[in-house]
Amino acid sequence: MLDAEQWQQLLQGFLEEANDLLREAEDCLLVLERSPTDSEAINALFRSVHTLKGSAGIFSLEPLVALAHHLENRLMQVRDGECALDDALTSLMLQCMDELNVMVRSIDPHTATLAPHTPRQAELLAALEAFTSSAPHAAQGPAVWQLALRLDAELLRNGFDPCAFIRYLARLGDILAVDTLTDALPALEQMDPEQCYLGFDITLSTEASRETLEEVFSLADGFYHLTLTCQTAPDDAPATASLRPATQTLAPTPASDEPRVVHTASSLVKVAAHKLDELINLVGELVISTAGAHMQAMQTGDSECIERVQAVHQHVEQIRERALKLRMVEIGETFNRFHRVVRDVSLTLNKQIQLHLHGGDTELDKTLTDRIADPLIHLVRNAIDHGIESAEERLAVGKPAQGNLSLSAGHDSGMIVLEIQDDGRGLNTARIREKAIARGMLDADSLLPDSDIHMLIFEAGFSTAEQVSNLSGRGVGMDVVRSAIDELRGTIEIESEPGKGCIFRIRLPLTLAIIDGFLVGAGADRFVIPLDMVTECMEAPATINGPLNLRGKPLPCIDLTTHFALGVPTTSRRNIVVVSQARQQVGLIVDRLLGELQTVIKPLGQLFRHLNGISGSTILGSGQVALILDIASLFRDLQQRNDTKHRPSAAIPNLSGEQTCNGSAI
Amino acid sequence: MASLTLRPSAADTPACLCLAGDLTIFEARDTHAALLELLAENPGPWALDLSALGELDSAGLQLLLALGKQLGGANTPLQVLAVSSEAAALIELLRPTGLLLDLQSVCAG
Repeated sequence: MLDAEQWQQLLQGFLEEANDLLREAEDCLLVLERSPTDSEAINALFRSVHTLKGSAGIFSLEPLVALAHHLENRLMQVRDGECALDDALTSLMLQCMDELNVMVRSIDPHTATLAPHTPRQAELLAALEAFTSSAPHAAQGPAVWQLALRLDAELLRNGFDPCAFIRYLARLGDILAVDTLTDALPALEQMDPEQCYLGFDITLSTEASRETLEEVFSLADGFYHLTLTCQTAPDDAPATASLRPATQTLAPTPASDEPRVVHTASSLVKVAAHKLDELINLVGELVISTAGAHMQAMQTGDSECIERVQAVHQHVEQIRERALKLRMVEIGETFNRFHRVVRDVSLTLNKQIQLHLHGGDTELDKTLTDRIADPLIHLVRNAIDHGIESAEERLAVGKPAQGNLSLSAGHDSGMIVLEIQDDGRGLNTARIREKAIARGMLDADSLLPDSDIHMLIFEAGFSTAEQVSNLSGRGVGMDVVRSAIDELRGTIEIESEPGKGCIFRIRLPLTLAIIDGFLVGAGADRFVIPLDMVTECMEAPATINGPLNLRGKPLPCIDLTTHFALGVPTTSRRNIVVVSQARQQVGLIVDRLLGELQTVIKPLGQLFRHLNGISGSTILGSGQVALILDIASLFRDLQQRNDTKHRPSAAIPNLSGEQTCNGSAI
Repeated sequence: MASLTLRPSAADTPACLCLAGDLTIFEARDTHAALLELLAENPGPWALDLSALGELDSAGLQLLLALGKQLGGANTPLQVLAVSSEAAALIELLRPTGLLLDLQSVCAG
């Protein structure tokens, strides 16, 4: 018997697997909707549902098993060509997937119990059942099957007699023809009389289902390869399925031309997220302690020692990179969910929408992918509901009836950029302004630029929709989107052109764990600037009044020493680090430039979490703490201050006590 | 093992191999060895008399097919002069092209 902990683990495993399976199944259904004869997708779909049913059976999740079972039956008919997969059936199956999702979510993770059948489930079961009776190609009369049976050399020695299988087949229906293949039979002297060299091509007319036919051979599992082809499938495409991997294919046959079902999943290992976090934490510590060792070695001047430490350092770097990549996942998986969202929303609103996905292979941290999915869904729904016009409206203004929505991902200066673009009517600036004034968010005579007015839609309780649909327009959502993105240290901007469309652009940091940084000194303290944002460094003029002139462009500057109230500058020759983000530039005035370093972001403690301008801390090789600058918030700060000399009211941690004297830290 | 007797060829008829007893996976190895010995003495052509054959399975049939290939090449089937009802059932079911079954003899067997 399993003890409680093992059982719990098993259940946890099942819940995760179930979610994956359902997502896979849904993807397959959507593929099938576009190309209904894709036999690989049908098989994958069938496999997912079948596996789900099997696993749910272990935990006696009766309602789930029942629905999965009925779904499986229907899929079986689709696979065998007895039932066509039309729009109505796809929709019904998607609804079943939803219900299965709901069921999986409602499983009590401690007791593995599930509420008994609900009316909704009964309704779906009945609908699935009804499809059987009205199915246009429901089983009628015998079908002619072509069985290509290839046998393993060890079959006979293992006590199986293929003739016995064929005799049994003869009882299931009429064997129209048998071709005994002897091509692989060697000369008598070379022959091992106990080895199997034969193969059979059988034509069978039977009313039995594919499953029954497969069952016949199942006893000799692993010693044969069977290809079943139904010759009387309703459409021209033969429902061919390659069932089991051949251990040895005898007698060269065209079997190799058939699509092989590839199990990519077997090459993946699932690891609990917290184990990865522990690993990455340790690697972070390793990076820090290597930096310490390196510094110590430099101080001793022992060249042998320095060389060794450098070798270690290189390896640690590689480990760091690999470890971080472990957490990175492609955003494509999240993107694929949008096919479903777009499908459902456009059906509900009766709009034709084509979804385009770009940059699905862009990788970002798993935590980020998980947390950005919901905000993205909000934005996509909004774009379809408010952005894209109805077909009539579109035709009236000379646009094609089908709306376009594109989702793309890419990299830009060390950030991930996600864009949701539609070719709808764009934001109605005047209406947003009107509404904002009506709600007292805006002064009637204030002159805000359009871009700022657009940002008002992210305020809590704001909605301009004339009619509240059940999708969006309730004024919840956009402010949630904004706060979710803020939490991830990201930014969002809107680019809208009336009549042409609208782009929502989200920028997110690549990872939450480790960054390439640029170390600078200001006063007695050290700061790390994310290296991707640094565009150039230059010497600061003796006195700075207002923005500098950088190649003809104004460059606003922040003096870190005064900004963080660090006392007087320690040197008269100061430097400016120019950082850029999203087409904005700002110069940071610092005392010293200390070079590049790789650094592990350690979150600030609860007390300091809300510090403006600082996103985290790190420990240098010397043991000194350096603060990581949050450039995005410095930009916001700069905009808010609007060039007035004003110091932030937030407290600044005093780190001078930990300082040790070392000019060339890294 | 199945007992093998090779009746020497008469005027117009080829030598005839009579198989008696069972020919299954259990007898296959010994029968195979015995066939090779007989072939060394008399390289053919042969015909088959299976009228005394008991149980026949895939391994046995495979051995007969290999023998036929050896004697006549892939395209010349091995003539079966007589066959027991048990062996006939299997040959009827699989209809291997390597064995030429004289329907008259089946009836007789």
